[in-house]
Amino acid sequence: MEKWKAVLKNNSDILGNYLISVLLVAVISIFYRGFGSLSHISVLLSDFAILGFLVIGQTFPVLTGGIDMSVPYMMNCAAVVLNYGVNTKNWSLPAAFLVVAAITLLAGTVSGFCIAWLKVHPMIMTYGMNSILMGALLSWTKGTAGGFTPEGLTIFAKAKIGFLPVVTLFFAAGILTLMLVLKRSAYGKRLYAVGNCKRAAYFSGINVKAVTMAAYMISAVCAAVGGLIMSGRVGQSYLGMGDSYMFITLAAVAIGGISMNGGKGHVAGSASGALLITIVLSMLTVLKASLGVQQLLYGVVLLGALILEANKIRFGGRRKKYDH
Amino acid sequence: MADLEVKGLSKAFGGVQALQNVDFQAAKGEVHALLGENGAGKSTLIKCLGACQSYDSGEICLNGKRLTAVHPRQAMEAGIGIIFQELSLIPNLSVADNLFLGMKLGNKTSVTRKRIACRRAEKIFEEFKVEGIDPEQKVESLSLSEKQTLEIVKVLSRDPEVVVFDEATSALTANRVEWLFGLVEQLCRQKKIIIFISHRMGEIRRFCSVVTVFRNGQNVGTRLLTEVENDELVQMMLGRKIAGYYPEKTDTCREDAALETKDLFFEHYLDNVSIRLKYGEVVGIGGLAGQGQNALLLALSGAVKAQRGEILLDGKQAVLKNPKQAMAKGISLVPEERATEGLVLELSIADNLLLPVVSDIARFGLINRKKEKELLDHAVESLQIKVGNIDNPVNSLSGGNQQKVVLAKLMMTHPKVLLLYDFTRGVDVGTKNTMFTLLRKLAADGNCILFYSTDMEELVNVCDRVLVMDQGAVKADLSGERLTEENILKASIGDGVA
Repeated sequence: MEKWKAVLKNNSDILGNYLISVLLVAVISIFYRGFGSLSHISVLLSDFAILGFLVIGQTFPVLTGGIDMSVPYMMNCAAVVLNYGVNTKNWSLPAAFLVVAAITLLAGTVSGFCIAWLKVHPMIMTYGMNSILMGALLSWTKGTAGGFTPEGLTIFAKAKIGFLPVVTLFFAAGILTLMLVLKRSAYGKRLYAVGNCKRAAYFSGINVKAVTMAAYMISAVCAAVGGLIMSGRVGQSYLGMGDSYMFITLAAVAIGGISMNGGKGHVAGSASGALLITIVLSMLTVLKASLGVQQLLYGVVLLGALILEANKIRFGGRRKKYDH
Repeated sequence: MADLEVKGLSKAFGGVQALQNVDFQAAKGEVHALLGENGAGKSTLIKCLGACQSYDSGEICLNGKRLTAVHPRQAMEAGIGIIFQELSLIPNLSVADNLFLGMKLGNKTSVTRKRIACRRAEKIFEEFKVEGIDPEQKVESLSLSEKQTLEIVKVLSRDPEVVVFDEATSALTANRVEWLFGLVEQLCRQKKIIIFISHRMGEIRRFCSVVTVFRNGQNVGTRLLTEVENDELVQMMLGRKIAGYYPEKTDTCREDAALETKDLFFEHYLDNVSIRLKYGEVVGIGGLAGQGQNALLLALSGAVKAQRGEILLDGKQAVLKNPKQAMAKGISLVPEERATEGLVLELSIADNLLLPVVSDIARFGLINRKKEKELLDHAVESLQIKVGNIDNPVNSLSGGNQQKVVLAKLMMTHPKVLLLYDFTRGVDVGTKNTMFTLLRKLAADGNCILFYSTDMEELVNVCDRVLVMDQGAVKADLSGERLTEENILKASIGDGVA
């Protein structure tokens, strides 16, 4: 019991995010009746699942003190390869999935390897990977976008139990799994050690490089899953479908209480950031904000979240001191 | 009225009373030692004195005048100079720039500022008899001992009336301690008030005339050092009696060699080091700081690969690519920096303890709760770590208890060979006693221990054998009757040993 109390106390910010999300929906639905309807909430929940997958993936590189800027084309690549392979190259669906999985893991591994072993800065490396994937897609598909999504995937992405989208349940399972990985697995313990202090982790007998690389692989896989679900919901893939997600994932991670310096936070937190952002975005659409205003707000929200995160102690007013 | 007088000073951090109604007096021309366990309140008193920290009640008077400084700079101007254990130098500025940081030095924008600063720095170094530091050198290229020297000079060059050395000697090499001794004598003659904090009894006896002991935030008594025995001081510090300062040495050395090196070489650091360590033996490494001791320990722990030479474990050549491999083979290192190498400060005590063994207690990648609890209970118990809650972050513990966590963490892997880098630095007497007792017990159980310390008294009293290193080479192998502080010192400064 005591333990649970402590957990709640330590995660009050995250609980706050979930609470604010619910309140936002409630308040806006007073002015716009449709906003709080079950059908709209269902839409919000499946949007949440897509952004959520990208965000819980992004959490891992950020926990190591790095960053993954290849999320947009990682998700785009998964969607286009699947659709283009099935539609134009006549692959069978399972074969296409295997190819997608292989490419995703390969791209994640290459990024992770270059960052951990060849000491390329994470931002440069993953941004480069983003560009490589974009170029590869363009030349392979000769600029066509891949076409329609195979039926199996669209059915899965649009399926609902009551008003609950199946993909949201799938995402909840994803959070649970990754939460277990972070908090109860050997890898999780190592990841936090590496994120907080690489040297101490090294002297504790941890393979710092392997831990770092695995974080980028996890991020790649999550981004690909997000991309496939998005492609399933839209019914087709197009080049640039992930472009707007680059900074949103970072903003969500920051709002979700993950320290940009690494080593602090978890996926339930970053998912709360994803939920909040999903609702704010939908709110902007309802309020008919222009694309420009939306982009501007992303920037403001991201910076605001980062400033809050970096100065939490000062704004919180409770300064912890350990003095002997 | 005393020259420096502290009256009824109290300070609380949250619920913890760091200082309780403390009275303290110091006179001009005396060197006044402060003794006490980690967390006894010495540092808090000093920080209040230097206005690095506010206090709740009480007052501080210098020459009968009440000090009202609320900023370290004001305290400095009032004549209080504090040399902190944690260095306040800026690594990528030059020595001269650091020396005059925050001081007016003629024209601020002058292109000749650098030259003026260097010339003034050279003059100051001459005045304080500092050799071997170039004013134009960047601070990051200095050794820890040189940095500490610079810190001392920086404070003294501002000619303070009260000089506080807060464990300033723990990072100094033996010859620089000699230098400091001369300096302190000179300050004494200039009728300064000198306050000296150290955990090393030997130095306190040499440097100081009066000692005040702190325990749990209270002043428990002031004595003349000529009239008090070590045992009594230790008893005052701990509030109880301990059997002896150092545990009894018994010969537990076995026949077979645990770890051997053959002509280990690394340019500038290791000069063909060949040593042989046996099971059940506590071997010390002595010498001035920065003579390759760290490189040797790092090479043995797999963190650094020697350019030439080989390492043999149980008579077989061992390939140690990283600490992970070394640990798997039974060699563990307590690294130099507790805060950045030994522990992940932000993580909990439990998570730190389990780091090296998480894979061993995991099934399909998930940690087995029962095994986890067993290991943790055993670790806390065997090292008598005072933990409130094992899920608290490790930086909520005092320094001594943190070091115990480092040791307990490494013991999780059941190492055959334990490498310790100056692991008693900044650790209080009671904890030291626990640790030395543990070391002797580990040796008796057949482990091999290699122990580097800058404190010669420790080396002599804890180790069976001491290797003295100088310029990367082992210059002496002292044991039995030849193992004395005098011989270690002689060998470290290149004198022949009888």
